[in-house]
Amino acid sequence: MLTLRSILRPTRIVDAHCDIPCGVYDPEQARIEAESCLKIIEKYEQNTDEHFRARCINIKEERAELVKHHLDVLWHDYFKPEHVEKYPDLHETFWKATKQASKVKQSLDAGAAKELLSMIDTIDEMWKATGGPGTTRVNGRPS
Amino acid sequence: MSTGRGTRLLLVLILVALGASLGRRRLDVVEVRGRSMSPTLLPGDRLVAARLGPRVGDVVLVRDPRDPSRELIKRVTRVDDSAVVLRGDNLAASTDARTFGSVPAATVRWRVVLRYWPIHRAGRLSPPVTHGLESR
Repeated sequence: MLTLRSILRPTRIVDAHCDIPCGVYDPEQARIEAESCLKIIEKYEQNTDEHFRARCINIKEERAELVKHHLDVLWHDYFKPEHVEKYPDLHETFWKATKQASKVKQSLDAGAAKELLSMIDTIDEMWKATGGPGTTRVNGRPS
Repeated sequence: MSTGRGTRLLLVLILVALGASLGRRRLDVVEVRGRSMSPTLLPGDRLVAARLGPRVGDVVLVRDPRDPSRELIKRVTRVDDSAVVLRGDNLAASTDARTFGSVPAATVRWRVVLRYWPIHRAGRLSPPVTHGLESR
């Protein structure tokens, strides 16, 4: 008997394979991009050349997108279920931070970029408290 | 998107039923494991694959040239006369042509045509996302 369930059941597993996931996760990556956003907003405010300002907007949006990307990778690849037990607001924190990155992408408000930095710092605290530096950084990295 | 979700799902069901009726020699359904194709494909995604040759941009299934017991899913970035170059969309976490080189075109026989599970992401696959990392 050919049931819908039997038709939709996969016949085989296909591998989106990676030999060696590098295992390096660091909120610093997101923070540097967020710092770029803030600095670019400041440069935008100090300059009246319309072409320069257009480039600022373009670069800021690119960097804000990278913030979201790096936060996403931390969220779904570094943090584990046991970390969520320790920090029940972990998902909420990431959701708000990535939303804030979207806000920075859309706006030229330096305050929004500063708020994003402080949200990344909150994530950095969770990363440190869950042993992030010890497990993901290469030994001997200068601090 | 102009096609409604219901229409899309119906199309998938027709295709899969057709495939099943042909003994899965022309169409088949597979499940994704691993993250090298994220964010296009995530672990647990279920796909309909058709027995069709590779074109640039297609997501295809191919035996791992280094381990034939494993079937890989990757995107085609180049097709020459007889060789196909494959990459994972998640370049930072993918083992692909950068490691094992190109594969013979004759070995790439399955092309992904649709995702049917999870339903909220059912439909045709999106093109690769670059995150602007290349411009750095």
